[in-house]
Amino acid sequence: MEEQTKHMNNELREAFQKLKKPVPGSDFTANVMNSIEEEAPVSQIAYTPLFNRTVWTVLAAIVIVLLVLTIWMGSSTDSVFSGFLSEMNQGQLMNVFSTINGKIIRILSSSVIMLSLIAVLAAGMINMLIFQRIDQAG
Amino acid sequence: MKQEDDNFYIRQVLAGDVQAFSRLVDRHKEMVFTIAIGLLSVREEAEEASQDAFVKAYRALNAFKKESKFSTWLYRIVYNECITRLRKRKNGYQSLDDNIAMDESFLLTEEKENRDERAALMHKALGDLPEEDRALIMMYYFEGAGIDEISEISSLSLSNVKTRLFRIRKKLYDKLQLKIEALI
Repeated sequence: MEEQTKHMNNELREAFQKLKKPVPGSDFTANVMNSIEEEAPVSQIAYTPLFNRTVWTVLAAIVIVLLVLTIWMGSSTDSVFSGFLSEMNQGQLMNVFSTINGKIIRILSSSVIMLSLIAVLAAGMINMLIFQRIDQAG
Repeated sequence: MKQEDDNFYIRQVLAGDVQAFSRLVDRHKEMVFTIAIGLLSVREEAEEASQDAFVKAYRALNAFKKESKFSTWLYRIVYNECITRLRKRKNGYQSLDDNIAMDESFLLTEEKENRDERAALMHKALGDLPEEDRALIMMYYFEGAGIDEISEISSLSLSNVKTRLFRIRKKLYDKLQLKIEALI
């Protein structure tokens, strides 16, 4: 079977070598350059995203987790992290991080901060999607 | 003369030296044209699509992130450009069943009397292939593109490219064998 495939490949390679390779016309480069010279020069300043795609993916995952928690823990945004904290208090992990956790959770349990965080991360996700679309188009 | 890599010329273009782009055109025009003629079959349309692809690449040069090779990025642009043209062609003035005659200009040697019978058969068999299959096999044999590169250009998975290439080779080989046997 492998021998047959090899033979087939060699036969085809040989047949292709006998074909004249397609090449564009001799004025091809000149025509492209003429079209390009009519364009505005490309900017030297390249847009670079704030974070790379991996970071945005991680942030997107965090947004999804936050949204799931919001839906799962209850309808009030204010109660999301306080509920989460009380659940966590029962675990042993809470003892280890208790000193830092109290402060972090107090900050995160503010609905304004949480909604702002979600908005910023959602904007990042949109930014990432737009870049993907540009890549696909471009 | 020292051969600089693509990134060198990209930096030159971005720094304002538009003419540096001509080096990139010269370097990649054959592969770009092979993809275009494979997909579009008609020489004039393939040249137009290739030129448009280079102009698009020039416009988007500052968005090129160097995550892939410049060549692969450019070949994807021409591949997508040709696919768009094919869709327009099929949705527009030509029906799906219309067969567009394969360009005669890449039929082996310049002199008609020196044409090899097997190459003529190969040309005919290539013309009978679906457009995307023809482009894939031409990238593979004419340009020596690897499976990985073809996969990136065409946005097909590696396994899909492998399977399709095997199927296309088998089809071409069978056609050649049958026709050669018929001639004998």
